Amino acid sequence: MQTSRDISEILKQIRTQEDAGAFSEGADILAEGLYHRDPLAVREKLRRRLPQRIYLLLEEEADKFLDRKDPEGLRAFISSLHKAIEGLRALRLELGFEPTGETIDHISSWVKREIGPDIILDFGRDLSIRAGARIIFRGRFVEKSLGVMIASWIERDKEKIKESLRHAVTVRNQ
Amino acid sequence: MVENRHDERIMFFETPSFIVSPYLFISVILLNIGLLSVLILWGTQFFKRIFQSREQARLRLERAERAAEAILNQAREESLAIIGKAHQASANILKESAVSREGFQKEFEKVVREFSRGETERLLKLSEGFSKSYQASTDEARKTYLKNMDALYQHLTDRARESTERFEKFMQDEVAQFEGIAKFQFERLQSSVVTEVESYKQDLIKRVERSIFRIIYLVSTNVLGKTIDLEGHRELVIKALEEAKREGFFE
Repeated sequence: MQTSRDISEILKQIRTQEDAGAFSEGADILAEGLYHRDPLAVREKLRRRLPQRIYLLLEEEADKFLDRKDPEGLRAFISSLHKAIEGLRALRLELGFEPTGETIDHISSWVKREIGPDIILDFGRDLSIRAGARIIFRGRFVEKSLGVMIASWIERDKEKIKESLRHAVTVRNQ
Repeated sequence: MVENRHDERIMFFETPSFIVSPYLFISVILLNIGLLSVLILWGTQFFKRIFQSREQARLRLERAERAAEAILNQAREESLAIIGKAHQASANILKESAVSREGFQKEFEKVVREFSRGETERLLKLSEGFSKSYQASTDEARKTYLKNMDALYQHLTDRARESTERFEKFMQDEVAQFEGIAKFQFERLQSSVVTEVESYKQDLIKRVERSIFRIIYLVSTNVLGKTIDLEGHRELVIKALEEAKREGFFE
């Protein structure tokens, strides 16, 4: 049970597909380390191959089992982690800009909170979108770009815009 | 036997003795000569006679021609004499006839003048009567003509008035009908034009609106796309996700 709670904590940290790949690779390295005589070499490999955030997280989780000299628990953790990663669902977001880490955190938090903790983000780049996003999920997609937003705004507030234009023309003619 | 046949043949070709007697042969020759001489003499005489008769005929012909010429000369002379006498006689006759012609002419002129005077008087009388009769008949005819003309004029006037009235009524009906059709067509055309103008106006307005909205769209996307900062982008992505969730996209 302790493992499941840890896994759910780790899943919160998997924001993107790249993260998922890194965690999967880290789990593989840890699995190899179970049979390795030199624990330092395993740690070094983790450090060298994974982003620091993920390396530190996995090292911390692994140390919990190693401190308890519980290799079986670690093996179970690794297995659970693999299954959890395989069960993640990808939400593709095509954006008109390159998201920063902060932006990714912000969006991922919202997605995991509002849609599901098993959702990871898959970012793509399309400059024609300019702002907003094209959302692709489970084989479906919806365009929520700035252009679509403005178009829907124009459609929704067409009469107001026309009224504003008429007013502007009348004032100008006077 | 053979010898006998040979003898017979010899006998067959031998001249009898009584035929080849020299006297007889000479006699025959002489007779023939004599006959030939006679024949020649006769032929000579015959041709001589023929030539003589031809000459005689030619001579007779010449004589006849001379005789005919003489007769012709005589006849010509006689005819000339006759013609001269006739000419003389005719001249005389002409002289006599000229004298008698003057008398006859005078008499004839007199008769003709009398006849002419009489006929003139008669024709004058006849013409006067005819003139009176003609005058009377022409007066009557004129009156009848004028009467007929009046009647005809009246009839024509009445017909013309009737025709004019009918034509006027026809024209009024036609004009009214045409006015009705024209009014109907005009109203229809006006309605059609108004509808077309309205349709065109609406289409134009829609096009203008589309253009304006297109401009707003382009300006907005360009301006906003360039002026939005990172935080704004982030909020727009969250807003996009919220809308998608509201629409049930993730369910």
